[in-house]
Amino acid sequence: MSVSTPVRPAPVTSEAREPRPPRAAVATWLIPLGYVAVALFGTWWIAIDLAALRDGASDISRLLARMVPVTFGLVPALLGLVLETLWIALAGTGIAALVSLPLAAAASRDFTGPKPVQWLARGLIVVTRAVPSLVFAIVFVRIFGLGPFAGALAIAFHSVGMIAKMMTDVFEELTPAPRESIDAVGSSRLQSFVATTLSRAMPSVSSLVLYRLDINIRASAVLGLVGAGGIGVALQTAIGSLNYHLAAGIIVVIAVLLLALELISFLSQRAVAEHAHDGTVAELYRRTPDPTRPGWNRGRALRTGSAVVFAGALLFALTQVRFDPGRLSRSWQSTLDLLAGFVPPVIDPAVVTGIFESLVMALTATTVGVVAGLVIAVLSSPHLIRFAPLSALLRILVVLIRSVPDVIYALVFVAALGLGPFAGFLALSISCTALAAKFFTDSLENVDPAPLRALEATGASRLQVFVSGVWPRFVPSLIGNSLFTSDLALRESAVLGIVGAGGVGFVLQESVATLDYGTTAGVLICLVVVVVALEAVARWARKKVI
Amino acid sequence: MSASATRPENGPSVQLHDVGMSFGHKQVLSDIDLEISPGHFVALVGPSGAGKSTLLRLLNGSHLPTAGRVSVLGSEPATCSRRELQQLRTRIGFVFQQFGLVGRLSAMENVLMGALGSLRMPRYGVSTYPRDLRVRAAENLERVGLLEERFQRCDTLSGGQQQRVAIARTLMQDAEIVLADEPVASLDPSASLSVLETLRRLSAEDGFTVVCSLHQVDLALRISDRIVAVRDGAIVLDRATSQTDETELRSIYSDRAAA
Amino acid sequence: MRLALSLTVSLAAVALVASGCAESPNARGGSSGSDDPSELVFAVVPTEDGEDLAKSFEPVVAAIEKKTGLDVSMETVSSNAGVIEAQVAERVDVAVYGAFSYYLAQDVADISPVAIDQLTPDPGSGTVNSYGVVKAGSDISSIEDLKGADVCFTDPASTTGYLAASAGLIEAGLDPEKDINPVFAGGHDTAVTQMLAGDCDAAFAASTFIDDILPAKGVIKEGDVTKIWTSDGLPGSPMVVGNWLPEDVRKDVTAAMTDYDAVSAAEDGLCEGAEREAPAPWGEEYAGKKACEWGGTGAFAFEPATDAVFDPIRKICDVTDADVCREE
Ligand SMILES: Nc1ncnc2c1ncn2[C@@H]1O[C@H](COP(=O)(O)OP(=O)(O)O)[C@@H](O)[C@H]1O
Ligand SMILES: [Mg+2]
Repeated sequence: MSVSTPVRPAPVTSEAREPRPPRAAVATWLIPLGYVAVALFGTWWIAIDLAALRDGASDISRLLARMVPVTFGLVPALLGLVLETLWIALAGTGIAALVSLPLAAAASRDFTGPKPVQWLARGLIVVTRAVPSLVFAIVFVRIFGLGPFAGALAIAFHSVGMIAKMMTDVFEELTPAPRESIDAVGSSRLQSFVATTLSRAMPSVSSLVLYRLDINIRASAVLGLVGAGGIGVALQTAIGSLNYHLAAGIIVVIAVLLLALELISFLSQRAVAEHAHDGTVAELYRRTPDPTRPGWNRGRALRTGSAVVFAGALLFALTQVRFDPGRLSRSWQSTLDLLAGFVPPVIDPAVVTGIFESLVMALTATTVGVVAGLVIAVLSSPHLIRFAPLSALLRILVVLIRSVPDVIYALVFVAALGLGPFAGFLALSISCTALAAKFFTDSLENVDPAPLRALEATGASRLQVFVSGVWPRFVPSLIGNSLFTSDLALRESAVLGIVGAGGVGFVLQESVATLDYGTTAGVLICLVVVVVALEAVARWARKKVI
Repeated sequence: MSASATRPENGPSVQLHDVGMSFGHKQVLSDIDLEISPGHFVALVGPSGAGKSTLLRLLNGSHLPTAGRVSVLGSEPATCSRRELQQLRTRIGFVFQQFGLVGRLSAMENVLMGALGSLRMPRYGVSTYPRDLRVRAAENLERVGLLEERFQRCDTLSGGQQQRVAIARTLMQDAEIVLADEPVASLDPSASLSVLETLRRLSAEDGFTVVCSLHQVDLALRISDRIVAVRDGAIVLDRATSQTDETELRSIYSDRAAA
Repeated sequence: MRLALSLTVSLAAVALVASGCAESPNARGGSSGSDDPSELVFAVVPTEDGEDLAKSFEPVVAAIEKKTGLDVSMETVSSNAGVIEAQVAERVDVAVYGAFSYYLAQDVADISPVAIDQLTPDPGSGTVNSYGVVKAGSDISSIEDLKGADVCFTDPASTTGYLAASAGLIEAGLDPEKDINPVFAGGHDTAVTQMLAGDCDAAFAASTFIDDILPAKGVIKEGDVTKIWTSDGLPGSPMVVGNWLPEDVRKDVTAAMTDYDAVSAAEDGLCEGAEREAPAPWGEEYAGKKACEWGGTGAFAFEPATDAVFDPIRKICDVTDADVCREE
């Protein structure tokens, strides 16, 4: 219902929140300080030794040389795998996006409905995010059987955590004024949400869903656990059998796919920009003689066309992952047996050490990734340097960096440095850089340009505009996304296992491979605790900064 | 809209009796008595922090008074259920200083949002609204002089134009009262005057009551029927505009330093 | 807030002190690969049947340290490619991994197998098999019957979970890609459970899963599955050393493996406090004796191995000409 319930001591009003003066909130320096502290400890613990990296350069080049010439195997077979992966990832991401929407709306602090609903939504978001897709996969394969459906669902469940979390952030960052004015016309809660929140969040939401699709295509190796095949499994097999020519070929194909996605993302951002920029087309529909009838122009055709294409692709993807409902009746016993194995959860020293190792590595790697990502993001956003080729180049570079799977980075650094945490740390730092660069670039792009133009009009230099206009608005997302990068890195730390650096991913994989599900459950509990803790810090910081 | 002729106009639009409002320990309004007759254009003046916004929010039920009684269009927000409050709000327009428009949508769609209170389902995009509402939206845009800009992104309109879109949005509600909270505070003087004149004209044409908080004393004198001045949470002046002058009003702002 | 601040500051202080004063637990001594190593790097890749891999190899590490007089740092690594690449760069001196990993590694790394696990006192008892199984009561009774069937495998690079079976199918006159519909389930356990759940008509998996692990975990019960095919014996997990190590070090490592068995290691105090009772399959002779956990498979000993031990794998690769077998 319309009415943000009237309350005696009123909630923060638009006036109280509207002009965000750049306050030097504690969070803005306490959290970076925390990262630096952990990173200091981490550098000692990891025993970073840059000289060793230099000494290993020749080993790296020998390894890379074994990847050329790139081969693609049977091209039609490879394309088949690409399509298979694409459909499953699309279906999983699409389901996740649809589920995330109501969850994020309920989890947002602007939600005026019952508190328990809000807590439930927040709980679901944290838990689905903390539980790795590997675990969803082994459960769903029991329920739904081998095949794409279990795979799509494993992807969907794990993606909900990230998509809904980021959507919540997007919703909360919107200024409250439009929502309050539409509440004031007596609209229902849903009407007001669609008209003012969803419509404004659409650009950011579509960009983050596309990004998650990108992640899900890359993470499709998990589909191997549900017999769904796809490009990720092929890549894993190629690497496992040291067929680096084919591995490189598959990476090239993935890179092309991701570049195409990035291009779509970029174009759709231009088409549905949240804020008007210099080049934004003002006329949304062509005017027709009948003033009530919106006509067609290029922009409308583009918007409608891409919406139709996406909806069509999603529907088609959903038909590709159908499952047999009759199977459900047969599977509940074996599912119960599996779940019974999760109790009692075992949290032994191996689990605790694994969490500790992963956490230290994730936080240290995030520190590196945030700094590097920030540099890339600032250079590729138009605020300081307006040189389109540079920004396009950096964008492409970031896509290429993330097209290469962690395991390849891990192998490269293992060749150079031998087994151990240092190699894992470097590999993890690279993925953190790619993550952070993407997040930061997007949020720098979404800074409302109107106040900046006002600053420019006063004759401020570009640097001054950046420091006093852009930076204060960027800090909340800088802090939020840094914490979120750690959160993702923590679960991506399976790469540490590849280099013999342990970590919670290794413990998890081991426990699943040896059917030691009590330990799996213990790992899950620890992951949930850590993710909730990170989330609590992030929420606290957002409260202080936004 | 010939609403003024058809509306039952029994009793005052707004009636405040001994109203007090505090946030925690902070007393923001005290002993407010105010009655506003239908169709009047009331300017609410007073220094920043005086309590003008709070007073306006009491009138549409966003805040509930901590003392006294507020009655708007014959109902008391404090005793309304959520549903009744929602219904009451469809009859009250609210114009904000920040316009409250969705910048990336067209003027037409923003205007149409004003009619959401009379619709059941959520809407997304101009074409999802029923045709009769679109006809009215176009009429209302024409009345604020923005028919040509109907399909333009709102954030590409000038400040004055955006505030007119917001006013056209309240027209969709067919409101009996329009509350305006410093509607021209972020506009330049000439845009300010034209926005207020538009509001005044529409109020006269449709017969709705306007309560408009303002900082600019000269504008208040030019535009309103009646001026209510608030300072430190109390009404310090309440008089027909014709019986006040600029010096008197300025004094309300000027000896604020002493307070 | 205060608390957060003081926590952060003290954490920073601890970090600084720690980094200033103490040696990192991960710091490396001299780099390996030199002619005169001061430390050996020993890597193990998990096999499916070991629960605490690091612990089960501790006595083995102790034996190597004792014989060579060198420190040994052990790394447990989740990917065979990680260990193999480290071997290529001569940064892993001793490794234990699957036989197929050795088959792949011998092409690219300068290594030799020195020992291979032996589960019981009988030589050759470390060999493993691949089983083809169907649900009890199935119409399928032999590998030839699989024509047109959905068949669950582990993954394309698994010897016992695919390659051996694939060779078996070819020998039975079936094309493993065209005459059956292969489904890769990602794991030995999943292949079997999903076959039982009806996702496929037959499953191929390592013998240890069907004989020991799945029954022990209660995943399958006696009589749930019927065996329709058994592969020839395949080599178990070899221990491989780098040829770049000095001759005497390689000899000492080999000696550590061949001189000790799980029981004599326990007698020599290599696993003090962590001994276990010798399991029944080791026979009368060892009944009631204390033994060490001797590697990831709980072996009785490591017996000498030569390259020829791996001929069954080469044969499978010759027969199947599988993608994963191809050399660079
Ligand atoms: N939600 C709130 N909580 C606490 N104090 C508030 C709140 N809203 C307004 N106030 C306080 O009430 C006083 C009057 O505010 P307001 O009505 O906004 O004044 P005006 O609109 O006249 O500038 C101010 O001191 C303001 O700080
Ligand atoms: Mg105000």
